[in-house]
Amino acid sequence: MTITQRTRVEPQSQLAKLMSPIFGKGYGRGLMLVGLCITIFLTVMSILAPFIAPHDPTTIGLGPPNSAPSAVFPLGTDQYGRDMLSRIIWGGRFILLVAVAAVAICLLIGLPIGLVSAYAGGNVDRTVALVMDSIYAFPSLVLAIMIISVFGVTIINEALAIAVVYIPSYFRVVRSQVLSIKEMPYVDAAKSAGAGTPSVLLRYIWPNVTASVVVVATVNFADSILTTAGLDFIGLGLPVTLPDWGIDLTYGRQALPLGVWWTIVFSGGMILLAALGFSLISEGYAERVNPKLR
Amino acid sequence: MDQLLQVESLTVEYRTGDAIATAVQAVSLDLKRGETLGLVGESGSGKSTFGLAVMGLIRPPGYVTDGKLTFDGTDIRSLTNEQLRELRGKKVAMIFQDPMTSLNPVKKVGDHFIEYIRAHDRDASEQSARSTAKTVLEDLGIPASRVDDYPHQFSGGMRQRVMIGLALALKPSLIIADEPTTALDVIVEAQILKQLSDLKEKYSLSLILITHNMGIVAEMADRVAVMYAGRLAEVAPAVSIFEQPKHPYTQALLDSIPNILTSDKVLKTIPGSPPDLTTPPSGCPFHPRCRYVFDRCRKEVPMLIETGGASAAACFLLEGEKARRT
Amino acid sequence: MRVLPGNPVLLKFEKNTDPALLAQYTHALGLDKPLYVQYFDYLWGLLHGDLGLSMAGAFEPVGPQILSRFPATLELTSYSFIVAVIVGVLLGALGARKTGATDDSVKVFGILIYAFPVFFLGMILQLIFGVWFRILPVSGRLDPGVIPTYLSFGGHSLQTGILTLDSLLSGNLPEFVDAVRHLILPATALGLVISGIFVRMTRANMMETMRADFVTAARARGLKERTVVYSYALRNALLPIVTIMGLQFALLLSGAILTETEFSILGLGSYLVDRINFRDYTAVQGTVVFLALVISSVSLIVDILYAYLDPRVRL
Repeated sequence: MTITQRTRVEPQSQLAKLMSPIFGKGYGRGLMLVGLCITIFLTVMSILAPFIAPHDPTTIGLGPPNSAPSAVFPLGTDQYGRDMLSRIIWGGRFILLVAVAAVAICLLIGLPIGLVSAYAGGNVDRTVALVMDSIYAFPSLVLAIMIISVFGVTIINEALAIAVVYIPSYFRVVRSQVLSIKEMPYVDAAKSAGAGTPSVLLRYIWPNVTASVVVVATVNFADSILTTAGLDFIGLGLPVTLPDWGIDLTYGRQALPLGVWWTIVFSGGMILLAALGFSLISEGYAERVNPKLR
Repeated sequence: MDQLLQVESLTVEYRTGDAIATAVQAVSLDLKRGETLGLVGESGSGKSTFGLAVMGLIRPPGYVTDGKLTFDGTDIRSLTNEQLRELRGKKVAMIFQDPMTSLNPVKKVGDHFIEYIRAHDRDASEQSARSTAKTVLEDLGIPASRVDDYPHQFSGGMRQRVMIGLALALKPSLIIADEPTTALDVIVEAQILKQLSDLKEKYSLSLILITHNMGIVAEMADRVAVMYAGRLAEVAPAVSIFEQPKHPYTQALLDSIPNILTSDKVLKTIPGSPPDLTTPPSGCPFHPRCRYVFDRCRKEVPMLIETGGASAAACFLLEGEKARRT
Repeated sequence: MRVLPGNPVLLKFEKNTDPALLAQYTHALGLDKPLYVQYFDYLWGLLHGDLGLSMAGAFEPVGPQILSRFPATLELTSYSFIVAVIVGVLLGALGARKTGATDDSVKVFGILIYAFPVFFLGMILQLIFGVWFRILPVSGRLDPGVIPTYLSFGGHSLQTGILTLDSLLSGNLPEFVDAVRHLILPATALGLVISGIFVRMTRANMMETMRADFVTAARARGLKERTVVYSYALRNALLPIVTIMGLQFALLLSGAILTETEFSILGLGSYLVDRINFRDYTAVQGTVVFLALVISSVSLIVDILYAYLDPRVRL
């Protein structure tokens, strides 16, 4: 066997590189798998809600109000006598939808801004960074509150509000990656060989940025879920009639002194589960990609 | 007793995830009092791990899985953590490679000394520890007034001197210097080496000098041990090893040093690269890169074969020689 | 060093959504002036410490309202912060030092606790300790009937509004105990959730620091393991965490809004929620500006603190 045979490195496709942290062996795999299972389960549940929910989640008076979990209503009923199980099954749609929209907006806006600004450098970069830092330093909920209260409550607005809060995170992460790679000798080498700006961005900078973006995006998902729930709690959420975990949590509170635990535990638990799922993916992925965390 | 340190068949493994890397494999070495042993090898040869093992500093995911370490008559591996702790810094001390990162950035240099002295002598007052610190610094050529400065306020060379001072403050009998000058420029390197040399004389120290630089070894060492892929390739007195290297690896190492006197146009290198320690080659670890390789090398691991004059090398080529001599 | 964020955004608040019949209010509040004039009027007022008039009914100046509600928030966030730091750092250090099951538990705890909506955690605590076991109060800051006291000397009274402080200063022990009892659940809820971040950061930093050369060198000198872990590893690991304290404070404020609402604590957070539901834009505006100021100050203090702690950064 020759030396060269032993040291050859197999080229990997882009997708393989991105996916290998999931399916390869090693650290963080457990966390990621659990996270993925949770998120896939919740997504499927939300999509299939009309088919798997035993009752209509908005029908009041199906059972006695505030009745404990029983054979008929496995998760109990809320104060209007609605079936909690059905409400829980339906309840994730809005929250998840907002999260998806928010992350999509962030990716569409935050990524390019970060890439271009960092690559361009100079005063433009500094100014943009300053604006981003100001937003970043501000409490996310307060900012979201401000935006929602002015522009009204719709899925798009909630998504936008959360996106605005989050774009700086993407920006920062992308920018720091780009800045450090930009100075690397191999970029200079490519440029001196005649590579143009888009080519450099695409082939050298982008692949290194993807890992960080995945981590930020999954954290973004988790925080979006929590922020949406928070907005619900403050009164800036959906209309009360629609099934939503956040709404149930907020209004289930009223029955708390009576010891009615099922409304809040199940709705809050689902929010927790959703946020947890994404967080696990994020931490698991980060652990696999960053050897220092082992 | 003449032997300060006796290492028998030391094996150190690093267990990470699914793989086990054997950093040190059945290495046996002795060190006499007052001797300077040069421990040479490429990165990944296991020389630093060896040094850490002698100090008892191997921590998970690293494990000492075999071997006997005797220091000054005491079996190190049988000591409790507390006893080991007392030994460290007082009888055996270590100097590390990178002076930039070897000192606690948030502690004053003087405090490093004070803390250290008082860790070993509970009765020492802060005053006396402080004055010891100042004396040591002066000894090394650093003004005593700098005892209250922070590490980042010193240059690399001065920091390394502080490290040496810390190693010597309690007058240990053995110092292990792990690449003490690798991070320094050549001029400072010469100063540090001279300092080490002088101190060694002054305090009758024994020294294990770990390095990949044959030049330092030539200058400072009495005996040289060459490591490759966790195993000992060759051990010999310094003079012998430079004049008559027996192991092909040692020969290749010495060959690759550019010689200003000959008119070499091409740098001689050793083809290939050091093996992955989680999946070492079968038989002799050097065989994939050896110019004399034959069949047996691929199957069996060569033991150290004595070649006379307190020298030994682990190579099958020498069996013939041994047979001829006996 | 820090720029006040968001001022241009506040401009949008000057949308007149009051019904037409409140036209005279509009005039009184200056809302009928052109937008840019309103903006400048506001800034001018700001400089004089005047945060404008509340839009809801009574036209009370917003400033004093904010100031009267702020101490409660300050108290809550401070105690929550202490909880977060203690829990976070200790657990993080534990996870970094040990491997295996302990480390995994710490990791999971950090992720799990931060995924909790803080008001949900609050509710659970209320349920367990307030409804099922009835040992801790679930709302407000003091039981009815407990009168907050304060120091008075000369003709003035010294009242910070921070109940735990005031009661201690004026020697009113029953009040102190009561205030603390009311703080336990909310501070625990908020503190625990925020601790998640500290746990993760401390653990990550510690793991890196523990591998640093100076730590091994310290061990090589025979220092006690405890000294090595705390004085060398942890001390250095915590430094970068201080730099993000300003951000953590912002996070705490977000959480405080929710926690105050949940526990019916009359602080600035619940004030904000309140005013939003009344569409009292001036009040909301004022609160946001005030919060921005507070955050900026905290960031400044943190920067100074960091310079003090890290000798490499001395001013």
